[in-house]
Amino acid sequence: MNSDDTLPSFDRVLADARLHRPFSEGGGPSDFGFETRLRAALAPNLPVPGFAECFASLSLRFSAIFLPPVLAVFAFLALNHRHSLPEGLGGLVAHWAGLLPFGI
Amino acid sequence: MPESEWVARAAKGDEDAFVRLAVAYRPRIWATASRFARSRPELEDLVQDLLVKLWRGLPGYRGNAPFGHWVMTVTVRGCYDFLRAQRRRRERETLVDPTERHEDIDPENERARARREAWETVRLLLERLDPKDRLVVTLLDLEERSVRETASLTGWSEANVKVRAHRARKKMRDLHHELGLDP
Repeated sequence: MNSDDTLPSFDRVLADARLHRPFSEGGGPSDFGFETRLRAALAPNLPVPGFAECFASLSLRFSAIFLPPVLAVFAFLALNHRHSLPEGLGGLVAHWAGLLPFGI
Repeated sequence: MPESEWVARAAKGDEDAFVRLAVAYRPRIWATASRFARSRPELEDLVQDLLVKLWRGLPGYRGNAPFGHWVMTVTVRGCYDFLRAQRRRRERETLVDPTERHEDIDPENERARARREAWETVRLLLERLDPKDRLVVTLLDLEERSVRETASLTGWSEANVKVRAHRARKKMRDLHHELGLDP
């Protein structure tokens, strides 16, 4: 313990703690790999990915997350339009063509 | 070449100049940060983060204060950010880093062992403090910095530093007593 036993207990502990150097074993910070790590950390940030990269990276998660709502929307629309659904490919094209903002 | 020249080059983006400065200031940053980290890997990561903060902040360094003072200001404020971020996680962890205990290279050294135990006790008490109080006690009582210097490094007023230090020491004394650490 600290040689000054006249100090109150807490102050003595504080005085001893002051003399301790945490993590100083082996002479403090190691130089091994320091510069390499530092230079890697200093490297400029990578360019921000564009929409295509973002979409490509999220597509799997996107489909998994949005499959239930997409199915729900499909079921809702199918139920609402079950009496007016077109028949055959020609009817389908004619039906959706009617929704376009311009004439065909 | 004088240090100011290296600083000027680093501020303009010269990575080699900054690495040279980082090598020179790393021991001081390490010494201060070591009072806040709980393991060697955590300390190395903290020092690395502080160096990156310095690199990013260098273009804003105007030379009003000595470069060493600016480095320690960024270091102390970075350590404070670290404390705030880590506090909640630390409440769930053990209070003594087992790796440091095993790294005792000289178990026969009674004096060194007593100092380390004292540090572990103080660290245990510091863990119970608010990050600001902990920072003030660390700078004043463990690093033996003056009130003025502590105020300058933290950006808080001298009165604030004094009040915080007084309150934190009292709390630590009370905890020391409550935990039965008094002989």
